[in-house]
Amino acid sequence: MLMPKRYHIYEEDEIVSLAGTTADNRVRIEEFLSHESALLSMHNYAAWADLLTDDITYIVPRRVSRKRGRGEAEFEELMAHFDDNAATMAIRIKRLCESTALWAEDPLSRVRYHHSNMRMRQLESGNDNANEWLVVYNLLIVRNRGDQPDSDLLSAQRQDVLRETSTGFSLAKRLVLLDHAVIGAHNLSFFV
Amino acid sequence: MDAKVDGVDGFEAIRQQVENGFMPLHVYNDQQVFDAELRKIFAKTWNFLGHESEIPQPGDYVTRFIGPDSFIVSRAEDGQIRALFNACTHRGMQVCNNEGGNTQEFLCPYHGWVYDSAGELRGVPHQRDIYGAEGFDRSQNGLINIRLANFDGMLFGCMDPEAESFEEYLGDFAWYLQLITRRSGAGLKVMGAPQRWVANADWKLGYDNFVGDGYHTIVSHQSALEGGALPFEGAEFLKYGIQINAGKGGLGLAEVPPVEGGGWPAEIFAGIEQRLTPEQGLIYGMGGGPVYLPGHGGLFPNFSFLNAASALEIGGPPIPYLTFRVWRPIAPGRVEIWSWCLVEADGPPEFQEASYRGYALSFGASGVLEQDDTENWTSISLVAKGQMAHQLALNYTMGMKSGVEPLADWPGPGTAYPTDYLEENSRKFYQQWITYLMA
Ligand code: FES
Ligand SMILES: [Fe+2]
Repeated sequence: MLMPKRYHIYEEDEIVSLAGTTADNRVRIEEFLSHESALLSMHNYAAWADLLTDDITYIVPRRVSRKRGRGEAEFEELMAHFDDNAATMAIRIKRLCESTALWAEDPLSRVRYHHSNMRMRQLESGNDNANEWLVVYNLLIVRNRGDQPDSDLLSAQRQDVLRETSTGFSLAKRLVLLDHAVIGAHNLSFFV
Repeated sequence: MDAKVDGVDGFEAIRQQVENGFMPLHVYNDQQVFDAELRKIFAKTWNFLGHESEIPQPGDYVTRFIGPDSFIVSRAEDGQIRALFNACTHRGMQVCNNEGGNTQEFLCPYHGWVYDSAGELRGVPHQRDIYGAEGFDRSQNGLINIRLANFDGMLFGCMDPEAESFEEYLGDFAWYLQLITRRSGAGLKVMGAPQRWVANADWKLGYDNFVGDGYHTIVSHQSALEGGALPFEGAEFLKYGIQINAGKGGLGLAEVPPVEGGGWPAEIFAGIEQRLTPEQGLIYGMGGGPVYLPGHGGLFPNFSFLNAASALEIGGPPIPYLTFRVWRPIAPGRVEIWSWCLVEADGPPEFQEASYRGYALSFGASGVLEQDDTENWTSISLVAKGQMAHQLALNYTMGMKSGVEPLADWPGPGTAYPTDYLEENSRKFYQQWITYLMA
């Protein structure tokens, strides 16, 4: 039995060919993502969870180093550093909010999310009650912790799908296409 | 107690401490120890390279490591799998600088020598003109093959032509590995490429933890319990588990959570009586006793496995998952962790996917259990670098004076103890470790 493909990577020409956005929408979407990442930096996971849709998928696939020119897939479909839906996300968030034994995050990591080169396009998948937006942008995460002088760096392209209803935006899909085959950090105790 | 590792005398001092259940802290971050480990352990032992399901088709290959040494694990056109030293015989260039794929040939980018997927040298640019018509024998200049063993699909390589066969090396531990590899008639298959990440931690700490540390779960992984990923009442289940050492390996068994079939779809076990001996079957409750997960364990020097279970929703049932590990030594106090997720190849796709997702939630760099494990090992390795690490011998004596006795009627080989809160497997590991270092 063939399982449906677990995520879709938007190719550059696909992104370019989708309808663009207005300056007004750009401001609102950038504002939302800045707020969303600020909550993560503050470790306010309870508030952050409120920004996720009930059908959220959050996938950070394993990137594989390939020989160029052979067209071999660089991202694994069934191996990822995060592969979460709302139910497993609820486990991660309950742990972060309620546990008194978060050894990997005591002291807390200082995690800064840098967004750039942002494009956003409205998707057909919306309906009368909700618009859906594809937001593609570069991500640089700097994590420092304790009194260690060195920081962990993670660089990626994010492909988010935001859903906009009368109450505002929420995050429906997050696909993080890492630039790393081997992760240069001892853990990912923060969201990417 | 303050022995610097200085030739044989230093190792003899360590050996005596290990004998008494103590482990000098500096060995987790010490250049001399590390160099000796590469030379006397990793160059002499059988090392896990991967699983045959990673390279199912002719031409498929993956690049793997034993310490700093790189090997192409390749399935050639003849269908046979080989482990080829990833170094051109001309100047030592890597002939493969990616993680895997499918190819007919490996072209060296320096001067263009071409090797096929069996490692045979097929082409040398201008060969006749520069070496003469008879002056060069291509058949003598192929990539170096190292020894390769295939145990129910698990691939192990050994760099030492003189070392014992894999069967001898594995010894009694085969009985226990088969519990995992033969659960399904179709065997295991990998779910994608192994995760890889690095930590400033010593390779031995990961192995030690997986082979014998049932004790840390309740404290280190309290948060996984509180979050709901570990679907149990408490995290003390391993206290009532069984710890076994056999041959060059060891493991801990825990009774599976009380759910139908241990959480595996029943069809996976179909015909298991033909694949396991009646004694092995007892572990899976085939004699009417309790069903055990072959929970955690490893094979010397740095292969580990974990067969545990995760919930996929708060309050949800436990879903079993399986991970294989290699703790690749990179430098003193630095390891690259390789972590595979495997499933029974003929299991229902929905179960395979659920099992993988439970693995990804619990283990790997982001795992709600594992993120706390690497935190521990990183801290230890940092401390091990200092001078005081030569004054502290770590206490590995758990079970030496508690009166715990081996189980008299245990059906399997090796020695089994009626608790997994025990440091016997760790002591055995370090005894093997120091024996190799002193050989
Ligand atoms: S180094 Fe490979 S061809 Fe010369
Ligand atoms: Fe652990």
